[in-house]
Amino acid sequence: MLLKVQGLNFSYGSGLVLKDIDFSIDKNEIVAVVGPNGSGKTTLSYCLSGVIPHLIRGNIKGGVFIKGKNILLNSLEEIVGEVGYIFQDPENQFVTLRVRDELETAISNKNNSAQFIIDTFQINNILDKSPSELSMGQKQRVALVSTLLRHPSLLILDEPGSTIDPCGIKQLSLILKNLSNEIAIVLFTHDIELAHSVADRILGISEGKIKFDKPSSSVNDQDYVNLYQLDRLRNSKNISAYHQNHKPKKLFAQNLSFRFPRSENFAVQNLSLEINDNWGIAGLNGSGKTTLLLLLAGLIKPTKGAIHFDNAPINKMTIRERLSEIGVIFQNPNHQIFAPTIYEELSFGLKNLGISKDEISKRIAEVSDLFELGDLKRDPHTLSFGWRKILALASVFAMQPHFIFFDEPELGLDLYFKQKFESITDIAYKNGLRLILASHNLQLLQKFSKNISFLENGELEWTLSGNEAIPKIKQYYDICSSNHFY
Amino acid sequence: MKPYQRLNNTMTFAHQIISIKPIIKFFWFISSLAVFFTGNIFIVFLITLVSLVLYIATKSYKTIYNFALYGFIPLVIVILILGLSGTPGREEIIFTFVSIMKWLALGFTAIVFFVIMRPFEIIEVLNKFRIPRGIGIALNAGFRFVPIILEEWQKTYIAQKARGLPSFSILKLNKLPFIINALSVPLLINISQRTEDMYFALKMKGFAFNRQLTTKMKSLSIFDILTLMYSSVIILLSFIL
Repeated sequence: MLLKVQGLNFSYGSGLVLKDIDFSIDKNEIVAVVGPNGSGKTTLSYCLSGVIPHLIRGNIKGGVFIKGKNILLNSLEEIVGEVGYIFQDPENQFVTLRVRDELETAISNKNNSAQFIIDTFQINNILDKSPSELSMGQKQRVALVSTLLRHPSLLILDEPGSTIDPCGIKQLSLILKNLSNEIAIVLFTHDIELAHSVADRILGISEGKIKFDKPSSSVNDQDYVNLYQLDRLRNSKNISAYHQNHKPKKLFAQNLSFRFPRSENFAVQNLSLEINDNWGIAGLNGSGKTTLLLLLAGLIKPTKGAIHFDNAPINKMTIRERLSEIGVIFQNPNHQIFAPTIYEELSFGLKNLGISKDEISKRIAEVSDLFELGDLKRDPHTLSFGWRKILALASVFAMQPHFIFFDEPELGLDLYFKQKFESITDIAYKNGLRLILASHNLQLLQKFSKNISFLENGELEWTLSGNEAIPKIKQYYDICSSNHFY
Repeated sequence: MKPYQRLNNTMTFAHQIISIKPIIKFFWFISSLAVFFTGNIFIVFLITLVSLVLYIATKSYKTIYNFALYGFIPLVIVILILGLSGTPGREEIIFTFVSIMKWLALGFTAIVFFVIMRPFEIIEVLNKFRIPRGIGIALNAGFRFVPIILEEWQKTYIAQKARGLPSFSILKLNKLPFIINALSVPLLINISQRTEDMYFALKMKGFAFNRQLTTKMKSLSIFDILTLMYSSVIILLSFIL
């Protein structure tokens, strides 16, 4: 047995975050830990890696044993060689300015078979790049290599598939399966599909307790309904405002090109689109999906070409005109939350729209009820990631725009919030809202897109109806995952 | 085999410069600062030329540090205006251009230095001067955070712009605290989160425990010797001329 967790209880102050956790992992085993946002997954991952109690203090009881050594009693110095940890955003763990330096610091600690690992992961051509220049897939590979160069016995990955495309996820699954011949792996993830595809065992955790610990083949739908309490989901109400006034409008992009400052390549190139209904945008990481969304929303200026909203140039629209027509939901809600209360956060966009106080109160009451936001005086920074994302969504819905642009809307959401998001979006769509959705999630694209445009290296490869596009994208991902590294 | 050699599959001119010994690169940087303490036009011209060549050869203009050069533009304009205002004589013109060259040389040298010095080499050099290792690591993490802060700033600005954050205008100064609040709170929270992750990563990589991080002194290469000679000559000439 490589890892044994025995009677583990932990609290940061008041209230237990982990309660009586018991499980063990054998060498060559892959275990996935799944559970709702705020269920204690990150805290458990910190306990397994030694961050708790060595770097984060709290009240801890029980034991975490690696090869018989209790992590809680031994110093961090004695643990670091045994455990490797990959963060959700691997870029956060890079300490140096060049990939080469990042790897060298690992090699100088334990000097073994470095070139073999580097060759296996095919990162020779990016050794002189800065971590900021790498694609998400490349960042994850570099993080894996720099961790593996230390030859850990246990590899812990926090949300490994959240930032990479399906092609990358398939390759990551293969890598993890191969690595499990040498070491034990624990994944903390919201991605049920990934968990089932790579893990030998799945641990369901909720409210700090293990709810189930089963071989992945025997975990069924009812286990997830119980784990995420999906029966809490209520039918979404109608959004009254969307009953009115939303006549079909058109977004038209002509010969659109965009290049980032100091970049030699175009992020988006010679792209023309006419969008009048729900639209999906698909493509690998770095294909230009997010850039295209920002261009279409009028948030960045194209290097060449023009965008028209209902025949008016988008760059000539005032802020209020734009806000009343276009809303944007970003991947990370933390980039927009700043107000001290949920109410003020919701009112930020509405005030910028220039509407009356009474109307602001009415709209906030409506969306907070619809999204079940609860106490509006609460500080939004104390919410879990899932709730912060729902708050970001609510703040845009309150502005009642004609189009909402979604950039990977389900990123970081657990199953409960994913279903909640989909039911709200569905009802808003039926009431006249139009969505432009950039996502890797084919199920979501199929559900909410009349047409799907596929991008590759910033160029529009094709646009097809949803039903025609999905099989073609699946085929593309299958081919690319078997051909080259992401 | 040393780690750097192990990973080194291509050795372009830029790579040769990067692989010069850290202490020699540091000596070159210090010697180039002589540009400010000499009145000799030949030395100023030489240092400016060499720093410009290195700036181009190492493609420093493509790096994040290049933004520092923009800071010199207003300075150069001020020097030009002050130096060439009225009816300047030959000496005033020469003095103006030498002053501009000095500032440009400083800019190019500083940018090239941070591009060619690997962060852990800076720590190694600081160690040699008995400066605590913690300061070196903090300095390194600081460099690492420059692109992160810029990226977070850009994302925060776009996210708030999407919800109608008013643009800053000198005519609407009363909105300034509100704009600063809307941008700085998410920025600080995200940077704190990333700082915490990096701190955990550093600790989990065993940085605090491993004193010996960098390679031992290797035999001098031709590039080491040339750099050493150039730097020594510059310092010598600055004193003599």
